[in-house]
Amino acid sequence: MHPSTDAAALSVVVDAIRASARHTLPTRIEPSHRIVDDLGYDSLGIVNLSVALEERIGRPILLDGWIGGAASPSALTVGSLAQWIADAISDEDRGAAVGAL
Amino acid sequence: MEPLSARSDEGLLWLSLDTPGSDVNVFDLRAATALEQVLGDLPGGTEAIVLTSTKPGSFVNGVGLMMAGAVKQRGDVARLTEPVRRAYRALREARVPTIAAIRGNCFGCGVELALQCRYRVAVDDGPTSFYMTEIADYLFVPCFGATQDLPRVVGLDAAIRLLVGGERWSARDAARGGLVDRVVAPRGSDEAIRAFAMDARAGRVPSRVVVGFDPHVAERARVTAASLPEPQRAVSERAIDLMVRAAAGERAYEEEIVAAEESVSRPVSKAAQGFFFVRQIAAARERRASTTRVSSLVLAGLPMLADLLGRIAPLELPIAVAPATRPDPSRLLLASSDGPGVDVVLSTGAVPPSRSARLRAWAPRLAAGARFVEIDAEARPGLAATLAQVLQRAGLETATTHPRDRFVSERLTTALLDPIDRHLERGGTFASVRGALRSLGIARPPLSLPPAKRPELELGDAVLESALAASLVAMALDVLARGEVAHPATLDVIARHVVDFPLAARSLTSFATAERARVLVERHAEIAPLVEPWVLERLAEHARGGRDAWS
Repeated sequence: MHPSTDAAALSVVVDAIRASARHTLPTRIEPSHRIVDDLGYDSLGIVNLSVALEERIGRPILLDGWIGGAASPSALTVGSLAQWIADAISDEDRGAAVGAL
Repeated sequence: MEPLSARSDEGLLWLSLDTPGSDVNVFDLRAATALEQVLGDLPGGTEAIVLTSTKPGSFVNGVGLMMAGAVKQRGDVARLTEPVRRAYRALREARVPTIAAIRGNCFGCGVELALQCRYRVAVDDGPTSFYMTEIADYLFVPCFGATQDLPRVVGLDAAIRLLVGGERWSARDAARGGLVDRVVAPRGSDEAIRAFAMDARAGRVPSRVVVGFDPHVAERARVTAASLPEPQRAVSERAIDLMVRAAAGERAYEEEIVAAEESVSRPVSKAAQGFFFVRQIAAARERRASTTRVSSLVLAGLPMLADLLGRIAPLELPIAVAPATRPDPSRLLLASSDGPGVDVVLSTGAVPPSRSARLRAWAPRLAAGARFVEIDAEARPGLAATLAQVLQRAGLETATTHPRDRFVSERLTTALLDPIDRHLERGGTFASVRGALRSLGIARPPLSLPPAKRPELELGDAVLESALAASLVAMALDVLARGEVAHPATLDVIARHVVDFPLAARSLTSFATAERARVLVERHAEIAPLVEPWVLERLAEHARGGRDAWS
């Protein structure tokens, strides 16, 4: 995968977190931040995050696959979400999504 | 912000849940740790504990599906839920009387949390309802004691109806069924709960335990479970077995955890957990701000809804049941048929309201227990949004749509019934229809079929099953293409309520992939006689490079 696409996915995720979080967030959101333990998301928070991601990516997105891929809720990180988003969007769609940023 | 606050008052310790970051209480690891800590170090002079919530409309809605989603192998449930189970145990073993004061949704592990208390009191308002989500919504056996505790508190029959049948109980139902010890009116509820707690503190309230059961109840439940589609059958039979043994006096909490683990990690349960996100995304869209404000609601000729809506009345919205004589913009008028000054025609019968209504809404299966209303928002979007909010407050799920001619609910129902009709016309049997529906995973279709004598021996009809899938998938694609729903999640919610689209397939629009269309198109020759020509055309088009609804 092209590095700039990875960076774009991370930027979308960080932006969506800023828009959907109901907790006070750290000044800088890092890929290593844990979504549940550090950023305070629960399952309903993840729904808000999905909606925020959809608004930015331009298509509906379900995060159950990302959640199911982790060994525990603590293993869900900003970085793993960015990676999952980048993988979930096809090459063709990715071009459009990145272009829309 | 802390998930649990504590306040002492004349020997009563009030513990109030308010888990941060969400509109409802999610009893997660932080809440569990906080509860365990306070119970481990009770303030001096504590003679009774009242567990309650300060979140409007929510006692406890769940433990959070994040844990369930992470379960993959043996030992995971025990490991991931240990802090929550420790907190539950601490509550059960508290040395003073404990009272769950329930106001708002009490779902799944919220019911199990309340069952750890010696007594339960419920407020008689609209949001207060009891519902076991685990099997009905997620196809897994619960893991916080429901199979063990429910039969002893409400008896085997009611326990099975709640946990396996997915019954939703109001506060009054819960009192009748023995799930709560007392119901209190919304006005003055704090004082009434306090009075009950003082009685409990003084030992003046007996705690209830049901002993013994009717063996026919177990037999009936097993027969019903045997007729369910495989994913529901397996999990229901396991839960019934655990409940029957609990009712007979056995204690099998550890075995319940094993059953939870086996069921929660199955792909069908993972798919059902995925539907949670679909449904919540749809709900988030339905909650968007409405433009028309309403200060009161007038109901005409809708007794079934009057009961549901009536319970939100005292605190939130003045409701009259007589028709208003004059239209008033601050009032929302709901009627079952058109009339002068009527804003909304809401039909709960088999026929949707006519296009002449200013705003039309349809609850096609309300009488069958589906708490769902489709609202045609084409003519009055602002009023449609207001109606959606009012109905949601009464505990109904809504889907706001933009139908071209027929309601989406009606189109989906037709998509399911049309192939069945053709199959029967061509000499197909009821047994093969039942079998095909069961193979597809549809337990409660919108039609009545004669019951099977030996459901386990009935074989499905593979061609009909494919034709049903093709018909539903094509209809979903058509509804999306015509923009009759603004979001696939809205269609998924409609399909779940109206045709009982199976949880085991996650959702209709996530089932309707280009890959699925390709597989169905390969069976073109067999399916063609059972569907209209456009169905296969639509599938072929999608198979040629259609974009899937979800990433």
